Amino acid sequence: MSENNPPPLDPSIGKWDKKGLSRRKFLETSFWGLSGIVTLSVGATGVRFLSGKALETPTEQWVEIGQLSDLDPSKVNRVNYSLSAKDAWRDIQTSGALFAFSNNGGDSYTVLDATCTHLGCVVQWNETDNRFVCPCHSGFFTREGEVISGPPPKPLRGLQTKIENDTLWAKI
Amino acid sequence: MAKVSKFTKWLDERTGIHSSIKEFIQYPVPLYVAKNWLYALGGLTIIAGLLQGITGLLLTFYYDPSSEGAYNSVDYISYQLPLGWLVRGIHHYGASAIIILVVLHMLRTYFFSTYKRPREINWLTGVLMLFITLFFGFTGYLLPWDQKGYWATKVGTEIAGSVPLIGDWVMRFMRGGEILGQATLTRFYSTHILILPAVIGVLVAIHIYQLRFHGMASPITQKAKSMSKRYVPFFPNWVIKDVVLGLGLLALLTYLSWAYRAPLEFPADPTSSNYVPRPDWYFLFYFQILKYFPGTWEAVATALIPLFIFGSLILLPFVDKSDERRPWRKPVTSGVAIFYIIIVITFTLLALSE
Amino acid sequence: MKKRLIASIIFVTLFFLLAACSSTTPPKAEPNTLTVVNVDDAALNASADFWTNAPKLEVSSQAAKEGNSAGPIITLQAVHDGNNIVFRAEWADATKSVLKNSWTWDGSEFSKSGNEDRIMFLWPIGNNVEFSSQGCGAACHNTSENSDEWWMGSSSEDVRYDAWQWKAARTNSAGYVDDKWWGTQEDPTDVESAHHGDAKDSGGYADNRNEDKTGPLFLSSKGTDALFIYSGEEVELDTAALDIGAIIPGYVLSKPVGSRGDIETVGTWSDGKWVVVIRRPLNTGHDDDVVYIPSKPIPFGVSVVDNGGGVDHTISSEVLTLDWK
Repeated sequence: MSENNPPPLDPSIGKWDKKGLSRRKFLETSFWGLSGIVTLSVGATGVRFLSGKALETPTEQWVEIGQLSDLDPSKVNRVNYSLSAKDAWRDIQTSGALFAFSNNGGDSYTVLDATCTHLGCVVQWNETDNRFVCPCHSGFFTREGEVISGPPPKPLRGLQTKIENDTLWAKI
Repeated sequence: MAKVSKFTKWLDERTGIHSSIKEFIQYPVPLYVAKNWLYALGGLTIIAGLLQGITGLLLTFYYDPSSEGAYNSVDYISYQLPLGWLVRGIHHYGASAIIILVVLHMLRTYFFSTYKRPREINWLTGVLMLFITLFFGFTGYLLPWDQKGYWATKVGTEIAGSVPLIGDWVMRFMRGGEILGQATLTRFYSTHILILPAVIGVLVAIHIYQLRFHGMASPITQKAKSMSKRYVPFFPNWVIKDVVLGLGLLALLTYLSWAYRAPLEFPADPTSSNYVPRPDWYFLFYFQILKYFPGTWEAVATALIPLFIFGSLILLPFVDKSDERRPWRKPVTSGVAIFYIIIVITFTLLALSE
Repeated sequence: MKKRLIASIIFVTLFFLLAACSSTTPPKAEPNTLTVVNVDDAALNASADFWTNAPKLEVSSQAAKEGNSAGPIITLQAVHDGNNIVFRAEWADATKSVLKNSWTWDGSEFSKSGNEDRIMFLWPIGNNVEFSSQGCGAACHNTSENSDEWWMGSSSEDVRYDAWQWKAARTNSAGYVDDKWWGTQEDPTDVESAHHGDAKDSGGYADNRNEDKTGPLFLSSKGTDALFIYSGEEVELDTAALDIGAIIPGYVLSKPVGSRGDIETVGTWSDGKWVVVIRRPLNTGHDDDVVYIPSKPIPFGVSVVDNGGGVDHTISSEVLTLDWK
């Protein structure tokens, strides 16, 4: 106990209050306890506040991909879509690229997200080699989106589709 | 344990930090100070300031300082973000708490006459910090870009504009142009989150350094004098008080934020003709007093009243130079303070009742 | 010791004064503010017990067109239970008008006549600067000399409104409020081109008229004196069954499925006044609806129509605010 005491004061100033010194241990524990509570509650509030809506999964919605008459059932079609979305406190128009192709002459379509599963670049369709190419790190995918070679860990994401009134929709 | 002290020793040898901290926390606080809760007001103000700093920092992660986005981002924080109401609520009510604490702390200093020689610099830094605190409030009020903030700022800058000779220049400088708009919002934001915190940080450091340099002013009551030669260490005996009060303050602010959500009025509309602007409560008395000055006198009053208040606060330690520090033996200074308190309360109540 | 005690008491008192100050402000009723009260179960019931505790907002309605006579005082109340919000509206109307575009049989042919009573609510979707400070006036484009060219809607693509129309003839008895949204005027010659019905899968009211527009298509299976024909009750028109002076409703009614039918209602007329309760989820999840967040005040406007339509309505001339207790 005594070794933790503060050094004695210059007698001309005065001296430490004995009662005050004897309560030090208790007060110190209380100090760390209470400041721990404050730090934890403030910290937890801060972390929750800062994570905000960052961890929420965005809701999916049906987006119009295009008229069937505009799609060529014999080819891989690159289509651009745009949709209204909420960007935090702003209402925005967002857009993206998809690939649509048909294996039954246009009765139904497979729609692939053009986002490379490696690091998010947009893949290109290479007609001559009949494969998707990611220009960033030379990832290759088959027409169905399966990985042929390169760093991508997963096949391209396929989207749920529906055809209504000769219009192709996909869930994004 | 041994490992920690070995590391501490290593660090101390290279930085000297451990011995500085030790010196700081083992500072002897006289018993008559340690036993008087009124002396905790300063520390509590610092804690309230830290809370403003933390909540303010958190708010900057979402706040959008543009005239198109500001309102929507504050709306997002207040009503959509998890715990956004709490963070903004503490910042909102904390601002009022700081004003109250600063005033109480100054009244304590005033009535104990601790502004006297050799502590004039400490009084002056305090007065400067009061001014900056009010400026914090003024700049922060605009940021939500709602009707209240917009019109209070419009009137506030207009008041500055009515000051003779320099008024127009001051108003344009404050607004960043003729009109209150994006330029105003950006400079208010930058002032609120960068300039004022930096300035007040430096002033707090000087304030505390001065406090330590001079030590506590000698006691004025017999009872306090009997304790003047006994001391307790700053840590933990004194700090614990601040922590307990700080926890209480945090609880109070949390309760206020929960029970009475920080208000957000409708978005600013510069064309609205029927909005009655009102400043925040701590400016209400001034706003009310100005109503009693007609026409050209108002311009004089707008400039003279703040000049007089701050002028007298600054001159105080140089005018009141007597050695007497007991408030009951100083009827003039005590009377003046009570007179001002009554004026402020009366005009605030008058404004509230309208 | 004594001094310390006094000092701490003063200190604590001052602190709680701050709390007290802020606690004394809310109960003061703000003008033009409808306060939504939290209840356990927000039932669609005009005579529910909770209405006795819900503060009343009395709105005096002014003619939308200058010179026309003012309308009744509309008494509004609102409650919510965390999921739904319910409004109760009450206003004086000497006549119950529920026969819009109804057909009167004179023995040889039909003549079309009649209109209906309505109450309408207008809410901005999202934060709307103009509406917040001007109210319905912000959506009203009445600068033309010819009042037939006046239209309501938005001046900007980014601004939309949620417009509710409770219609005594066409929606009330089917249990819903017509849920529409207003955007910009798409065709400058068409005053209705800014108005869009919310999305629906099926349902809604349909004209009860033949191809030549000379008479009704159906009668009600409930008889020739039925005031309303509901979908599923239509029977083919048989003029032989009609007495001279018989009145056939002008619409076939059904509640829409989808966003158009989000709002439920029960409205009754008696003793010279309408009492209408309206219920909607706080958040319908539909893009074309206003979202209510308890604690967030939003501006709105209200208007009533006494047996008429178009410019002929009486409105709340000031901005009304929906606030939460």
